[in-house]
Amino acid sequence: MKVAFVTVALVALVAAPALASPEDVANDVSQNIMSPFCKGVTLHDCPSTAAARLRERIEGWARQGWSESRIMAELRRQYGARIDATPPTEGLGLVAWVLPAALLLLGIAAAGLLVKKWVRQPQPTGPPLSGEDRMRLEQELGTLREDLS
Amino acid sequence: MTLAALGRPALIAALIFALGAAVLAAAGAIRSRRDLTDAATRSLAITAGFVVTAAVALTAALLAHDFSYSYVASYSSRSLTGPYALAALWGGMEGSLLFWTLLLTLFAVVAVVRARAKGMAHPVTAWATAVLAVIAAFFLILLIAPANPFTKLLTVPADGRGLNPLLQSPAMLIHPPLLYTGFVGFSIPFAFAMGALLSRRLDDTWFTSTRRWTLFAWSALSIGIVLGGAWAYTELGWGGYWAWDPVENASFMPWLTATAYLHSVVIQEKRRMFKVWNVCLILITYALAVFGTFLTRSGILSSIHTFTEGPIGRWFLPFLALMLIGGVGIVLWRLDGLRSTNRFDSLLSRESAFLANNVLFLAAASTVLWGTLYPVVAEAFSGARLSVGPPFFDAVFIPLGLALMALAGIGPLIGWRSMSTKAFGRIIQGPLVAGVVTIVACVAIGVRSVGALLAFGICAFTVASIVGEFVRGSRVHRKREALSWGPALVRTLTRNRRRYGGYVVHLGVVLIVIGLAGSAFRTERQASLDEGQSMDIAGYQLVYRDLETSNTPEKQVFQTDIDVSRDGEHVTTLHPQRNFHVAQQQWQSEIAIRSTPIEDLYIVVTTIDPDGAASVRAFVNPLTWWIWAGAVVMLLGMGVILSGRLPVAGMASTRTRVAEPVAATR
Repeated sequence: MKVAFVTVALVALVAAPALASPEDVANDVSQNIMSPFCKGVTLHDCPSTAAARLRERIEGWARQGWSESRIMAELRRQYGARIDATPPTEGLGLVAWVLPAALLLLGIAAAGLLVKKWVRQPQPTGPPLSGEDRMRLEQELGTLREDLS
Repeated sequence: MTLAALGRPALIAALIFALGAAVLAAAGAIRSRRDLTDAATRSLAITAGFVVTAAVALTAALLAHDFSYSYVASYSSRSLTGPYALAALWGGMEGSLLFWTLLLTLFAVVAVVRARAKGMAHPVTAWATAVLAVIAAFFLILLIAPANPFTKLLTVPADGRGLNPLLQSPAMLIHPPLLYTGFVGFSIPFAFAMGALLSRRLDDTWFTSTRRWTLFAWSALSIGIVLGGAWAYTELGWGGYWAWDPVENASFMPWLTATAYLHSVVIQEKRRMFKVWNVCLILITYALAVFGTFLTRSGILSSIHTFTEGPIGRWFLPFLALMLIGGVGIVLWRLDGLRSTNRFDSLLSRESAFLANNVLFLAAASTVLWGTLYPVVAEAFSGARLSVGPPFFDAVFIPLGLALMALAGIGPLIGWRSMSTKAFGRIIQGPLVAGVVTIVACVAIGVRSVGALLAFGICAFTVASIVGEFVRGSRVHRKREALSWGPALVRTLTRNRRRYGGYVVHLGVVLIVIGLAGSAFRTERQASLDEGQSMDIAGYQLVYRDLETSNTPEKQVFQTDIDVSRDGEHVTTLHPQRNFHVAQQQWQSEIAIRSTPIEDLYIVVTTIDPDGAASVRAFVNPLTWWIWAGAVVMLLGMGVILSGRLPVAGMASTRTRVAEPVAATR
């Protein structure tokens, strides 16, 4: 199993990202901002003509050699912080990122404690099997062993 | 008098009978009077009859183009005929609520009558009837007061505004009814769970007798969600199928908790554990279904496909509060009777795997809920107007989704009660090797996305695990009954349809995940082309050959002919359109897709200039075909599960002993 994990880790290291074209930069940016023209969708997904024009402007900036972070800063300047499709990683925005992880950890901890407690407790013993039930059980187990042998 | 004129009186009568059914059923349960419960059942059936009358009345008005009704004028037009005229029934807020109520009352009558015929304890059925009648009454109040589909107009227009062109798609004929069937279907297990708690009948009867309803509702919701994705893919023109839109999330959250419930209820059935948890899960699932209905109609969130912002949002909050506070209160009240009688034998057991599955599903549902509501919370606390879009959901959800996929491969390998780490290490080797080999092979062919590599590796691991289960099961039947592999496989599938049908559903999910992982390799290009000009994308050359225009009563059609070639060889000619819909005064693109299991070539024309130049947006989406194939496999798996005779309470251990020869040995 260790060999498997090491192999996966090595493969992940080898898998380096390729260089992005201006179109890819524009697509990436438009997937990371909300559309100022359509409700609740990214600029990439917005079908309006105004959105198409803004995508073209972004591609133009990318062709001029602007980095993604410079394009994002310009868009924030023009449209405000709400254009970001992700909450900021500071202040109240940080809560958005931390809470899902905290909930998951809490769930894992609660489930872990529960299982630990349950596993530790002795099993309640049921009533003894009747002779007929015991014979039936042994027959079934015998058939099963034959099947699997 | 027209048939439509019967609509509103029918709704008022339905409300009276629903309230009567609630009171009679509660009285029948409290006083142990079967005659009162019989009267309640009849009253519920009459309620359903009146709601059917109202739905028929609205449908008749839509088909007759009776624009004196505001709803008909808003969502229909004279040019709207055939199935889309019928689809207008759920195309608007008021009609969709009527459709919801129609399904609810019909399902309620069938569920209550079946439960009584099958001999379910009288108090449980009586309380379940009361709960269902109260839910029906709430929706009927909405239909009578703030969301009346029979509001008359003072001035009757010559024609209606028509159904949104985006909704005039085959997927839209089926997608909303399936979603509603899913949402409403969960009201049945919810009502019977409440009935069991209120009547203190806390054995397994409530969930075994409503299991088919739960599976049915889950299946409908699953296919409804996929069809919603298919609709978005083929109609919206952005090359994708899921945008983490609040409305999409509203349908996904109850699906996640319902899936957790379908898994954890197996533990209650086999080990008499998780009783409190299961009741809570079905309560959460139904509450989320109603919450989703609230989200899509309240206007509190920005979404491209919410219904008109109407006044009904505020009506939902008290109902939701009543359901949650009442439900949790009843669970706490009956907590003593819900204690588990069994314990875990080992940390390494299938029970633990199911528990992990539940933690992950709940974390996933909480994450989606939190991300959906975060903009509202942030604005309420700090006044900051922030957004939460797909990049956030992808970042937080994909790791959980991959962990769940891996668990679908690990779970079948672990035996019930306990298993030694040595035996586990031995049995997991095969699937693990399959996963690693897949990752290495993907790297060798040039895959460089770490997320996609992990997804493909985990999918291979899970497929190997599931195939191994089928092979082991079939081997036993081959030896026991001297069958060849084919019949032995069929016997394996049919002897325990729920278990092996479930594995088929998992295989379908694997295919869907493969399709989703393909989005990591999406290529997209945009260009403005004059006739005769071309653009290149991912090895394809697209040549804009011709523009044809035509007129129909509904729209002006601008159809382009785009020749597609690869390496100089003609592949196909696609015909994306850009149309102007007259009634709505709205432009709409009709997308052209060439779909293969390897990749989809997806072309949308976003604008056409007066001189005929077309703005063309093209996508090459690898592996998307597998999403729809996976949904079909899921549907087959669900069919296998639902076609079987589901074990009744107390019978589970006897049946599974014979049908699960492999698990029993671990």
